[in-house]
Amino acid sequence: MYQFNRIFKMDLINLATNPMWIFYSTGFPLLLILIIGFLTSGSYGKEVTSYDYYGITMMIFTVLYSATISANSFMEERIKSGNMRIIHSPVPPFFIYFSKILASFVFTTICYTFAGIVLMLTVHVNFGGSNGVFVWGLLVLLNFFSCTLGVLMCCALKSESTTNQLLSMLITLLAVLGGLFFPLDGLGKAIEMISYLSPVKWISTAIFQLIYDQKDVLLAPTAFIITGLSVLMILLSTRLFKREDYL
Amino acid sequence: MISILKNDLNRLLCKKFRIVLTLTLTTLAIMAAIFINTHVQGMGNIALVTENGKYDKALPSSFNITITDESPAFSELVSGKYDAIITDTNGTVSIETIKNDDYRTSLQALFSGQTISENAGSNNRGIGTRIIGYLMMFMLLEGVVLMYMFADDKEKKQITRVAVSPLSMTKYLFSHSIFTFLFIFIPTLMILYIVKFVMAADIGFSLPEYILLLGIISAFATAFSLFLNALASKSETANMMGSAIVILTTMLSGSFYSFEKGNALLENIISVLPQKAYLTFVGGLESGLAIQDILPSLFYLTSLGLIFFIVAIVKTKKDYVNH
Amino acid sequence: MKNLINVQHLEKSYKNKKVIHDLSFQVAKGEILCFLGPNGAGKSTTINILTGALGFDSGKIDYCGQSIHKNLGGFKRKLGVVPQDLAVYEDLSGKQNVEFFASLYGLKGDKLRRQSHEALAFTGLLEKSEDKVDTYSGGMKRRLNIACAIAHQPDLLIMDEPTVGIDPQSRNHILSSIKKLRDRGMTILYTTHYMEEVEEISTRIIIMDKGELVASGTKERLKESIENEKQYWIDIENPERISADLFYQIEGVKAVIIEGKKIGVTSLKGIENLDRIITVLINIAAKIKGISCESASLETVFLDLTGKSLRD
Repeated sequence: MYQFNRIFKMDLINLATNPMWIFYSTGFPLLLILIIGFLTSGSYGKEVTSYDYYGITMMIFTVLYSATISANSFMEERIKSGNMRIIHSPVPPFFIYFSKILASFVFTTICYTFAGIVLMLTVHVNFGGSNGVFVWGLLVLLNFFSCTLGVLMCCALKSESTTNQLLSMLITLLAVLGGLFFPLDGLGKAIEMISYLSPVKWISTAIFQLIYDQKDVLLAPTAFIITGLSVLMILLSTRLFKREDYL
Repeated sequence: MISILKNDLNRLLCKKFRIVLTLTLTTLAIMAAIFINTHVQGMGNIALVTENGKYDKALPSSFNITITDESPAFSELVSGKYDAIITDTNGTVSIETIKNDDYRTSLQALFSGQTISENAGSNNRGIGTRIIGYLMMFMLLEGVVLMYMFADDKEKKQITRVAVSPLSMTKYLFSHSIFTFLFIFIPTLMILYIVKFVMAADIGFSLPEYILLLGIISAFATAFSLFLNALASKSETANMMGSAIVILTTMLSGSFYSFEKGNALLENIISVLPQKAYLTFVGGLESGLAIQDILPSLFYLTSLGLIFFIVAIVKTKKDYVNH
Repeated sequence: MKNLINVQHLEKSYKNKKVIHDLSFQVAKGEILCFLGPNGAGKSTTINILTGALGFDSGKIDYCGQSIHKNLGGFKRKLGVVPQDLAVYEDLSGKQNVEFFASLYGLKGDKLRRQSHEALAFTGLLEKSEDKVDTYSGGMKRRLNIACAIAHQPDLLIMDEPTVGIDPQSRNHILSSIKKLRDRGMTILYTTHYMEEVEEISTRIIIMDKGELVASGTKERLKESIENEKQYWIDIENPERISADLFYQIEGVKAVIIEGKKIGVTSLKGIENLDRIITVLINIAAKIKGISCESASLETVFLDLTGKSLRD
């Protein structure tokens, strides 16, 4: 455990000392939500504001983007060579990738929570009041999933640039399909069906129901599925992670 | 120059998975773009709640109206499934919507039997413009990623070999750019046309027009990512910064949704965005504006692209040739 | 001397290509064992297998009489590895690097700080230990690479070409450090391309080629093995018509190497055949520019055994 803590701490330091990642995890969601919320504020009424909509959807979007952060924390050139030495040391390989997952998860969760609080205080994004804890919990779970996804991609593709390309396009596509950039549901039954292909859609629906209908039917299944998927990602990483790739 | 192109191609071919991936994702993106945009949105979706789930009065034609006897959940208003829920209890109409007051007022008027002009809030862009608006984000992102070979050359120092070779830096960068351009442009155009025929969809513009329009944005995407990679010393920085900038500015420029009612300052800021200029040009072309009206946007876009390209050359030369 | 490592009949293939074939050797406690071999000989593969980072197809590797895979964690704790690439975090200070890697071996608290300090002092980096690694010179980074591997005071230190691309001062520093470590009782396994380094530090040498062990012994013993041989080096201007077969017909010729305009002919010592070698060259109208004669050196041993020059 001591060794794991040390690796974890090192990974966390590597993330937290990179201004890029800090901007990406706080500045980016804030800018995205504030600007888009402001621009669309005109077409929303007073009861539910544009910030309420984009505060949730763009937060989901940024949380998905955690995958690129965990991928980069794993494969970045300057970190890769350090990983090589860890391979030679008496620590189980599991520590190496799990610590990357955990470090990016902790780092991004802190950053996003900060961004969320700022949004609540400034533009009063409705995160669900008393249900806010569950909303936050779902986002945190999703964040964990994203981090496992990014690391899995690295284990599978063994290349940072391919992983980056895949993730950024995949996430954008899932986000469009999931109706994060603009509501899709109004465009007809067929599109609504397609939209449900994107797991993003279930999460946003679950969250909107929690906030606006005080309905939690989707909470448990969604949480369960995300957790299951995260475990699956970790198991797959264990299968695909090869020490040889670092030699 | 040819050798750089060949080298880029060979390097890309080593990553067959990557090519398949790009093509698959591009196809999906284009299909989504066409699919979503051929389902034209009217003035909105309305859930009309009556006691028995029936309504015998005439309905306004510009709305998509679902008649039901049970009121939908409020979250369905937020998620955009319905723009309004109208409850008709024995002729008394109550309206629940999260949209602005104008919208509420016009609904109120309509359902109380008055006639109003039915174009408020409708999206007046042509289908081609909307498809291109969707594709733009994907193409710009692709540019950012495809330039990785230049980033790689910088990071792994192969560029220092180029710098001492007789090949000029301008030609070297130009070669990378041509390569990136072709790999954004050709697959997108091809897939767009394949999807058009398979889905038998109307995509707004003719083939030559698409060649021109996609060519412009591919070139711009190339110049932008070259610029970014020339400035950043690490490929991740270029990549992450690039995606953040692309996503933010493309959304702002209204590629998915046109922001009509913003504030003046922000609108001024947005009008500077190259994507906005591009969309103005595309929209103008589609709606048949006179060429002199849309030329300034095109001119702005090309000059900006050119500036990006020149800055990239100057910066790279400064870094690697005479330092 | 007690054997620390015992490798028996090691086999390893990559995609049906055999890279290590029936390799057996021992590493005795307290020795500096140098691995020599041309590129692609299988040195790095052997080392990666030894460190437990790479699997193998068949064979046995024992550490102190016990299979390393039985207790890989315990074995790794006794092992220090200096990889060929600089495996350090450039954004951190030298001290942070050493402390981090040492902590992976279970060092903590005072012990961690003390031993890291010692490792930095030992490699002569103490003054700069608070500076970021990216401000270090190439030689300093190489030394840090070593410091990271010795802070946990391993019994066995495996070094994979630790002196690649550095200045002579740094190299000398590293070589004398290695000898000092040996004097403290550390066992060292060292791979290199540089014959001079082997001459300077090795207590025993293993020569590998094409995945097999071709010779092993002390440098004196290896030289002895070819003591009754000598080598002629002939420079000629027009090597186009030269072929090795021409020389093998001459009595006493054991090996022929043709490297561009240079021909190396290894011959038995008692037989005077230089005139016949020259006659062969004159017969094909070769223009001779110079002739030299060498007696056994490690370089000639290597050439003799592998038919290749070390830095091929």
